[in-house]
Amino acid sequence: MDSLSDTTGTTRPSLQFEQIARIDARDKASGRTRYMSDLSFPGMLYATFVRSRFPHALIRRVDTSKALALPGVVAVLTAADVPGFNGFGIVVPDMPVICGDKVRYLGDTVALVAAESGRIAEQAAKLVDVDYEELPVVDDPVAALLPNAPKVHDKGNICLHTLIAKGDVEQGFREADLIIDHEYRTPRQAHVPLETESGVAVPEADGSLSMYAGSQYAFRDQLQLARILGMNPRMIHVVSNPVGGGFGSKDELTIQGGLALLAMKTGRPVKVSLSREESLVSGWKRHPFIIRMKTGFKKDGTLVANDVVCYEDKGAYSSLGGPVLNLALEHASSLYRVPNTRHEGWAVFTNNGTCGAMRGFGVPQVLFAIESNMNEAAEKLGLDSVTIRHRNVLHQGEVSPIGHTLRTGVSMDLVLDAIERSDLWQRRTEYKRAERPWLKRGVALAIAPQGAGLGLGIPDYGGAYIDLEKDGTFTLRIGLVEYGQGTHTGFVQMAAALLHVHPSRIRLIAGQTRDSVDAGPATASRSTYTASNAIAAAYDDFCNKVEQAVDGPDSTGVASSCTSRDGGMETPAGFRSYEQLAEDYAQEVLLRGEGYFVWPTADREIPGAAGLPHWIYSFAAQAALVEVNTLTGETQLLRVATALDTGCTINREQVEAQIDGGVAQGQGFALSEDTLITKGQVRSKNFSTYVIPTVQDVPSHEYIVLENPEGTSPLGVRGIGEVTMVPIIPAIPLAIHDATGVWVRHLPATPERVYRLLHPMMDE
Amino acid sequence: MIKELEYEVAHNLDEALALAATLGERKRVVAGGTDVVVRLKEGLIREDVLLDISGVEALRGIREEDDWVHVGALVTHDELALSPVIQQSAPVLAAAARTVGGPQIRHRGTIGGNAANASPAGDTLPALVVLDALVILGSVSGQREVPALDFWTGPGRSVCRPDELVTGFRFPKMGVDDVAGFRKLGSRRAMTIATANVAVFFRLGKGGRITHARIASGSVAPTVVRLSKTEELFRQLLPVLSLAAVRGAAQMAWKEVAPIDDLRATALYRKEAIVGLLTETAYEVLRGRWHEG
Ligand SMILES: Cc1cc2nc3c(=O)[nH]c(=O)nc-3n(C[C@H](O)[C@H](O)[C@H](O)COP(=O)(O)OP(=O)(O)OC[C@H]3O[C@@H](n4cnc5c(N)ncnc54)[C@H](O)[C@@H]3O)c2cc1C
Repeated sequence: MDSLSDTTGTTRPSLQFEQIARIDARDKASGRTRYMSDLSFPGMLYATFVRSRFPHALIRRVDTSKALALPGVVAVLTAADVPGFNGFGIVVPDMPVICGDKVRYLGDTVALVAAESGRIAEQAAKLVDVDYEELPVVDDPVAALLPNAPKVHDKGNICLHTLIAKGDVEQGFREADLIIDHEYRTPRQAHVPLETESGVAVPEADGSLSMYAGSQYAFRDQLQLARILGMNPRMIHVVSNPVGGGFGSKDELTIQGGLALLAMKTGRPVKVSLSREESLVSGWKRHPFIIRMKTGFKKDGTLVANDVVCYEDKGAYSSLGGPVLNLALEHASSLYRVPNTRHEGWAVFTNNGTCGAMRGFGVPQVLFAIESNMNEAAEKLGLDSVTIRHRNVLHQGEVSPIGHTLRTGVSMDLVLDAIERSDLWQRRTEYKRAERPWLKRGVALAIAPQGAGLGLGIPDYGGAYIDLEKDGTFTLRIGLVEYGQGTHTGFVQMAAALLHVHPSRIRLIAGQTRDSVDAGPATASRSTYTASNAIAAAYDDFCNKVEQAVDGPDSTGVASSCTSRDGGMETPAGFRSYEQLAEDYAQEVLLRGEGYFVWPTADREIPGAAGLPHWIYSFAAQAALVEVNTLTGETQLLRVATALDTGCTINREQVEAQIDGGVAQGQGFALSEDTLITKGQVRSKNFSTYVIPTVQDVPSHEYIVLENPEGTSPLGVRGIGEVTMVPIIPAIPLAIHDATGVWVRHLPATPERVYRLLHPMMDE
Repeated sequence: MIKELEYEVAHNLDEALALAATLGERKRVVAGGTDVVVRLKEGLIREDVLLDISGVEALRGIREEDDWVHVGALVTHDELALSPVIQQSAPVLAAAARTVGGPQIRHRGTIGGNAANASPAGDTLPALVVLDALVILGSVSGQREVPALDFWTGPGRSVCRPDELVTGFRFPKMGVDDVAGFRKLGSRRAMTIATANVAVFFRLGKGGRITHARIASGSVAPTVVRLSKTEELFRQLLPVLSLAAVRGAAQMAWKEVAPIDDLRATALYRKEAIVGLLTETAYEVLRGRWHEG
């Protein structure tokens, strides 16, 4: 075993997690929660972002005089007004807060307006006079790679090129009995959280700035804003919670840079809440992929080679497009045993909006391709879809398709076995009986791993404090933002289980830079896993602190003999309730347990692939029952079975909720969601044309929750936030195939696309 | 940004008609507002006065008048879907109303607004056509009735004059020998604008043969269209349930529609899908009366 895996704590399987309702449920359900879009401050101004008129153009001149002259307008800013660095981006800060010389998509900001009312701000925005010189629109990621293609950025259109190779694919194909070779296309999915990008920037009397804006990582926002404002980060306080949904859309900065500039300039609080239309035009999206995948199999279904080329439509700015591409390439052969692989990818700048992080982070795109090739091979080889996967799934200790040894737990076989045993799969013949001759039903399954955490080379860190308050209750401090996943409830449950108190005795301070502890971004299925380690470490430290307090200076402070039970602790001086401990030791000094945790990573990087490999994975398998109307091409998703390895379940209700939500979002990807952009112009700007499933469309569920503890978490937990939406994406088109015999290789499988596959045009 | 407008509220029908007459082309009528407000937000309302008729009691209610049903212009989609009279005497209209938007839209949106809005995709329109409904128009100078099919003149256009209001609709009750159905094709099960929709009405005679057929379809032409050649083919069907035969007759629909490409679908798909929709709807309607050979 790798030495790193020894550094993490041992699992504590005996812990009991009190099954409580979400700690935020009552306030949210009753409307008491004040989201950022509900906030209001005395003297508050309203911002408008003046967006670009063209998807690609040079800016010759920006004239703000007419806008400034409008009564009620307090400030109009252009690029020249940015005091610090005019750019942001988690990896490469190449997106201007205000564009000065060039615009690269319709969501680009060319000026910012702050006015006494939203209405005046909107009117003023129309008066900002921008002189553009239009440039040819770059809208095809493959053509954008040609040497003579117009350039989105001076450095060219390649955001990232990655090639990972293992073995010899050509040799592999020579040994193959069957080769499946197809091109797949995936949609530009939008996150569409209920709350659009919203917030208020408030300049404080001491010269600092408070930023109230829903986002996924307060501490990184703080640094990015400091760079834009040219200010000490300590003078910027970010409050990210509560968030009305994110799914990755609020991982990168959105409106914060503009609000911060306006607030500092005017000295007044400034608010914005984007309209749905503006959000859909300017907001981050999931990267559409074109995937060419050629896969070689032996007669018995064994994989021998997989040659993959991905073209990622990056849109205008980098954000996390590079890491998304690399995570996709890491998963392009899933976790199957493939001796010869060649995974190549291009992240290509275009003027098609701009894409960034989204739940699944590149994995849904490639899993659609590999799982489809697997099923097609199974069909051609006369195997069933479980058998072909069983022949190929990897186990712990084996070498991955990109060449690293899988040291942590691998549950591919477990989720596959579980989905095979599901009621939906076992009784699929019955489920497939349709009631009308034109309705055809099909069932298919797929499995997915999902690398968790930030990957190699990016310090992946989490801290937590457990404070004993004077009255014997606790405060848990951990920076991670919650944007719907239920993680905060889980954090409290974990701390409560360790401390042996009811969760109601613990107050949580999270999702903000002040009074909390940086625990990294709420992304990459990392929150619950990170928190399990940080909170357990904080608990251990708390036990030490108690021992020191009780024993005085004699305590060694190393391995504490204190253990918690029944609302208190067994100490060297006997059992003490937390009230007693607080009374005796926490009145003057702070009794605080501090926990710090760094994610275990691989010891070396995959050559040429920044961030790879990931070290810890989530696993799920899903089976889908669909009904296709062969007269119209409509597909209904009727029932889904999910087998998910949580490692250890903290809150069963939230696990099921993640599955429900993951399936709905995966269903949207597979059947209806796509931001349509033609020549850089967004055509689906609201919910009548950007089609997400409604409550009428979502299926019934069968939940199979496995608990195969992840050894590197003291509580055994794995992240589940992303993987719950992945296998469903291939499972749906594969179920359409099972129902009708057609292979859907371009998602979403809209009624028209499915119809056209069922009824090809004569001249095709 | 919503522009500033004047807002007039009519408290009764006389007041509404008087205001309609005086304001003429300067005003836009508001019933449930579910179309008007969306257009206001998009800056598509050129009128500068809103005339709110939602409080006019005389425009509410569903009444039976001998062999006819009268539906007031302010009747909501919810009321249509839940009304025992409509369920009994015009189930095709209840079925159409049930597919409109979601609960909030059905609660506010009215049949008068749906008709007066004259969208080619309006879901109650094909149902009104196959019921042989008359649109009742009122003005200070009196009342007139127009057959539903002649009411719409183009997308967003109808014969309703600026001084007129749609006051209601009336249509004959369906009888024991009448069967009808409605089906909408959309991008999801609720909250969806029709990619195409179809309503079917058949009167069955001796031995179950179709003696009267009325088929109307939306979203496949500038206005709702009646598919009269297709109707003829249905009248010729032997009263034996056969999917192939139904499909054979429905095939003619292809020739009777003139759809366009838009974001939701291509014209070609719409032509083919309308055949599918009609096949399905006709088959469902006939299934209760005919038996397989
Ligand atoms: C989210 C959403 C979903 C929708 N889904 C559907 C759907 O699935 N199917 C569908 O068919 N429609 C749908 N609609 C459109 C709309 O809800 C319906 O057309 C509804 O019936 C309109 O009725 P209303 O009373 O709200 O009309 P209003 O908005 O009040 O008026 C609509 C138009 O008719 C005129 N008007 C209204 N009443 C009269 C009258 N008595 N005399 C003369 N003119 C009048 C108005 O001036 C206006 O031009 C949807 C709308 C929204 C916002």
